Amino acid sequence: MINWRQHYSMARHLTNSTSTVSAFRGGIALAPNKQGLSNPIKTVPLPPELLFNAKEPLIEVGDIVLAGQEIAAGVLASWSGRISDVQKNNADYTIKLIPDGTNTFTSAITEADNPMAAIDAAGLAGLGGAGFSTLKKLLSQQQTQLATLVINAAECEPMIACDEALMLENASEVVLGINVLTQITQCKQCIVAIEDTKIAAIESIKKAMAEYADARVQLCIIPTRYPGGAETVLLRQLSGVRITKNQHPADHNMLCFNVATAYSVHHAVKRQPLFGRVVSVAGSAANEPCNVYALFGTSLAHLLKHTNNLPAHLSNNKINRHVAITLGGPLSGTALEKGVNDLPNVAVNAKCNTVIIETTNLKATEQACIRCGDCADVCPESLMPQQLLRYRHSVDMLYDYHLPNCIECRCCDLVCPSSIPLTDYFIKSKQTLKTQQQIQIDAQLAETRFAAREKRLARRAKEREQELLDKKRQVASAPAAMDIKAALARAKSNKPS
Amino acid sequence: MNTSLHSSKSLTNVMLLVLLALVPGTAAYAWLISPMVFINIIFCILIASTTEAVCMRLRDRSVAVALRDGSIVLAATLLALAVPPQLPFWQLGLGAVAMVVLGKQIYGGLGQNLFNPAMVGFAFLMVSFPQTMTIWIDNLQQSVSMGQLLQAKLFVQTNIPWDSITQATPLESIRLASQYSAGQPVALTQTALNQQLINSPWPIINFGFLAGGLWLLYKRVITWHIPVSIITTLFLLHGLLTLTSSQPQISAMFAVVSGATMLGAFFIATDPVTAATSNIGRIIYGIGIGSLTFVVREWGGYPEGFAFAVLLMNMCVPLIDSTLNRHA
Repeated sequence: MINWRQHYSMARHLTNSTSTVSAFRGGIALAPNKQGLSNPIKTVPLPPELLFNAKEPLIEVGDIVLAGQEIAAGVLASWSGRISDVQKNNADYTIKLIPDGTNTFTSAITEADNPMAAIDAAGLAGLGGAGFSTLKKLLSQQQTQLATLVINAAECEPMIACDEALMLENASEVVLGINVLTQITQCKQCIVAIEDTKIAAIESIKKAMAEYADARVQLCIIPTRYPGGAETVLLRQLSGVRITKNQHPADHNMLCFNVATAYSVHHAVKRQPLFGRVVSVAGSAANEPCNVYALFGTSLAHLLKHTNNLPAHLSNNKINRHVAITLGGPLSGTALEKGVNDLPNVAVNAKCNTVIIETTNLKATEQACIRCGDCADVCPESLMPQQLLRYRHSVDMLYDYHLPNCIECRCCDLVCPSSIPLTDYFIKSKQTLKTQQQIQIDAQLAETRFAAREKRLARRAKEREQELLDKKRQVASAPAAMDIKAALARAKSNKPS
Repeated sequence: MNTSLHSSKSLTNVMLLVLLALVPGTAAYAWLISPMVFINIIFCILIASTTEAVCMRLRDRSVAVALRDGSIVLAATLLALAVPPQLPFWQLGLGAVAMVVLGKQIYGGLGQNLFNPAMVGFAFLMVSFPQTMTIWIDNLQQSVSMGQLLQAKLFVQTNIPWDSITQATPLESIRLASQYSAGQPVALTQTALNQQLINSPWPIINFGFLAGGLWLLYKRVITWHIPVSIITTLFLLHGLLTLTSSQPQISAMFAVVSGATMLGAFFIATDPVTAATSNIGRIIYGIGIGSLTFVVREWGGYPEGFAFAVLLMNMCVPLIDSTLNRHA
């Protein structure tokens, strides 16, 4: 069946090189508050030590590694050098690498002869925040010709400005990266989605597109509304297709890449992979909000020190309780547990798009839910947070109200008049659902095992019974029985009368 | 999460806005019926807050948190506005206690209750003290001094001739009164009935509450779904009755501006805790309240059906919500 809305919207994209879409249901128009865009992207000096957090280390202390070499499952060294330390803390390992002066790439990188091999060798991961492997995403869509490739340049969350900075400065490389992606995927059309308030970035991308982009690439201006750049919401805006939790965009013949990923693809294919990303430093307590290019493994302390953003008290080794550090956007990010004191131990990785430095403000006390429904009005996924909260202890009801579709955008938290951290509850509930599912799987396994055992036991019992019966029959028919009878008869006859 | 992005709307703000929106209607009520309503409101707030504090203490919860959100002040005000002004203090106090304990605290406090607390208090009073709950003083017929009223409310013997100054509650009394002319029964005519309605204080009071309600809509504290569906349903049903009945009937226009219609539609039925939570659910909930109110008014034993309509529809809310689960 033809999805007419999708059909029309796609036709619109094909006839115009720039199109717009109307606002989606829900969401909140938040002030963009993009900081540090007036200055060019900064760089920090090569740190004396690179940090990597990983699960299974593949190297030992003292090993010499090359840039791009896998040092732990799914973790590539971002610079060549010597492994100085491998520490275990709880389930994770912290690997320390002292970079050398040469930065030698692995042979896989230098000898890559096609784009896919280059992307594989560079170990590209999505730079939008989720960090999903680019190669895996591309491989998920190989059988059929891709209908729509979406380049996500929306960057809808306040304060995050790294993608916008990249588009302002390196638009041509971004567009060249997009071209590579369109070639790999053989897509029918490619839509670059960008928010309407990013006027300078739109101009810059348009210019680069006019010069380099292949004919399939279209620009689509979307309204500035959080969370319009979240994958499911963005794809729904562009195509009208609702992607549920169990589906991937590929199931609807679409793929979605972040604009910074496209930039990295360009460098990877040129056999000069970046192993780094642009990070936004923002927040009310940041001295010099900026966008800075950082190598993966750069500690936040190093990053902030060289951008002149280190909170004052850290240098005196005093515990600073008044500054909170958030990794990621103000809504999707997570606060560092020990605040400023964690800075030397946390490093930049693919997911780390923003570091926010704020003075801590008191959390409002959580009050009772009055079911006003404001949360349902802003939910971009049309969920009913008030019901999800009320029924948080019932697994069935959580499924009935579609908890797995929650994208954790925190719009509901923002409007709740009772200051309830709804999303925190939902994350916990999702965990419960997961455990519950595991329990069910385990139970089913145990049931089949038990049934098999019962069957086995029954079969054995039957066999044994059969054996016993056979034996009895044997005994009954054996000559020994005759002997006994004869003996008895003899004994009777011998009895003295 | 960054708290600075949070919207400025808070529970206390919401309750304050609703209280402010009650001002015009309450002022009209005090002016046209009796200023005693102010004393009732203050008395009711005092008793309800004390009961709330005691309950929270017994439940080992923070008293300050419960009192600060303002929900109990609002519920007490609504109860005081719903009862007749000359209701004895001890009865009003009992109603307030019933409202807090039976309407709210036994369910676990704010947000947990199934029934609208103010209407639980009202229904409790209605079934316990039907005599005092169904008579209303009427300033238009004979003025009673505040002193006399206060004495009466404290159950001191007074010389107020109750029969001559009180009437059955608004709608019923109007119909009764219009059948008498100078003490003599006359045939009820549509003109007499309309005249009686125009002369009664209720349309003005209702317009006061309507103004407050529209302001709440403008402030986005409530949504249009519940009030509009209640008022439309009442209007249509009364209109239908007028068209089909051979007897003179309260016209549809008057039906929506008399009795507790506006107060109920904008302030009582919109209590989010006990109302349906989706927009379609709210419309169904409102239609239910409108129809049940009409049924009780026209054929029921009680003169004003709003409270019972709200309570009955409260019971249906979980069913409405689960049936209308958005994606289902």
